[in-house]
Amino acid sequence: MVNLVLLLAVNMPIAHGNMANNNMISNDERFAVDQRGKFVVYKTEPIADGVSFSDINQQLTNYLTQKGNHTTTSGGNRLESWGSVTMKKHAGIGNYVGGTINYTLVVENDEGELNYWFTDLTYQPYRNDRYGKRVKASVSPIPLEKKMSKVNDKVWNKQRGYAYETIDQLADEVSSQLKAVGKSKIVTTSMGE
Amino acid sequence: MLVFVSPLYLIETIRQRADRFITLKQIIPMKKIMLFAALLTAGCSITYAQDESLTISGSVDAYYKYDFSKYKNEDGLSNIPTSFADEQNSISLGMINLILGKTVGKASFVGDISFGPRGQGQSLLGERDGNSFHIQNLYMTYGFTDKFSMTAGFMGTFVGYEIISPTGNFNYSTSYLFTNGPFQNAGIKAEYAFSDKVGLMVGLFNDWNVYQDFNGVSDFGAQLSLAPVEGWEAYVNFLTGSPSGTIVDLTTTYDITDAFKLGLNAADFSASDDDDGGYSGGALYAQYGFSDAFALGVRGEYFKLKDIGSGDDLMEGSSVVGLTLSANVKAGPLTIIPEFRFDNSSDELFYKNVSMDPTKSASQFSIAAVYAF
Repeated sequence: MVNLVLLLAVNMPIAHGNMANNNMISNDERFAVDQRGKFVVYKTEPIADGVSFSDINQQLTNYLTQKGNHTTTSGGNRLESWGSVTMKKHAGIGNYVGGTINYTLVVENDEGELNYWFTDLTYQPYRNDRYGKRVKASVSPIPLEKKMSKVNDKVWNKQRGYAYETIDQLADEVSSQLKAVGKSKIVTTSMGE
Repeated sequence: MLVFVSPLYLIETIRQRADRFITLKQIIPMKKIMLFAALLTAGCSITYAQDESLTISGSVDAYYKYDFSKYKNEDGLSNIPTSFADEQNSISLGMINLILGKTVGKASFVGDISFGPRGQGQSLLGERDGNSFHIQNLYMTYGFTDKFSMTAGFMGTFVGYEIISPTGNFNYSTSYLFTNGPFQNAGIKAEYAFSDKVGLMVGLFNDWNVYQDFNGVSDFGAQLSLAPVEGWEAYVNFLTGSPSGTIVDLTTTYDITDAFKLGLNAADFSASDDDDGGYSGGALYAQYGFSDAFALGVRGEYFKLKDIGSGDDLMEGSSVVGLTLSANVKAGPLTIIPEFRFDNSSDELFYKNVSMDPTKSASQFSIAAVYAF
């Protein structure tokens, strides 16, 4: 189990296992920070009765594979998945006109409770090429933890706010997937009685 | 007789040629059509692609330029004849550029319209009735597989380093190679990615820069793209056809670090009619980002017009060396580009004052504002 420690923006450590969530973060970035100094979006979810981590693993792997992620499991109670998600909103610096957020999703079984968090968050900006087509604007994605110069600080914080919203929305999707584990799909049809 | 050919002459010649050529007629070789019909129907396997909502992006730009000679012609243009930042001692408009794009399944489109001097008469040729459709890009793409796609429509040219949109260039003023090369190519092209490092594009195109080609589909183009290592991209471009001629172009960029970037553009153009000459040249670009807010870049260019004619009718082509130093100051989506440029010619192509005394060199300062969205 990863010894994940969340630090508030005021650098107050919270031990792993605390019911810390992102709503507690009151700074303008809204991200929690782990012991490596990396931004984290952290969630917990109780595991329903009769549901094993293997069931959760299968459900999430299918869901994440559909998104184009690379996913691995280890130790029978931990899943890691690497992927990216397109940002719907964009603040922009220079010629950046769009972007994606790269992430690592970690899901851990902690004695009947699922802890999952998004980390290694990087922003890959896009620009328009000569054909008006969006292409990568930088060789390396920009870590969300990066400090920008004073003139761009405000827009960068806005960008990070959008990144948080994007990841938070993705976390909600993951939560829905977790809640759907073990439940059969009910389809409503127009057939008569 | 020795007569010098100025870059301005060549630019005007190309434009006149493009206008003139749409009155000529040319038959497309049937073999080319058959080849593309075969490509269109080939390899129709289904691949997964995410649907995307409609994207809207673009830019606006404006500039001030001051030529130190104070010279300007009757149109208000000063010495250095390259594209866009050309109006003397004036706060002038670039363009407003609106780009729409959407992907559904394997099909996508880009519609890119522009209004303003940069996006109309300075980068788009007028139609028969003198109107402009304001279109920089209008094309549709279908990705048959992850590796193979086809695109048809009116597209920003694949030739060269610099582009029409000010958001795609570090320097605000443009190179002679850009100004004299094609701006758009309307046509149909097939792209195949052999791997992440090697790709090939072949296509049939109209003559340069026209929405409608009365000569028929007259140009053949190809692009070999290489990415030998991460951060290094190279494009070998070839475009040939009558009446424009044949251009071979190498464009390469290498991001040595996240902050330091080098670029190179080299091209050779020969007009299809030997008497119309051509040009060759190279431009080297170096840019360094000191922070997310400030970067400096320099462009050094050598540009040579080819000789025209022979014997007593020989017109010897001039050459120009251009040196441009630009800064990019980024405040959010706004980029301010202060720039100093010095051009030196082999011949007295420029004017040193308002009295139009000829000289071999010209220098200018400009400051531009570019907002991307």
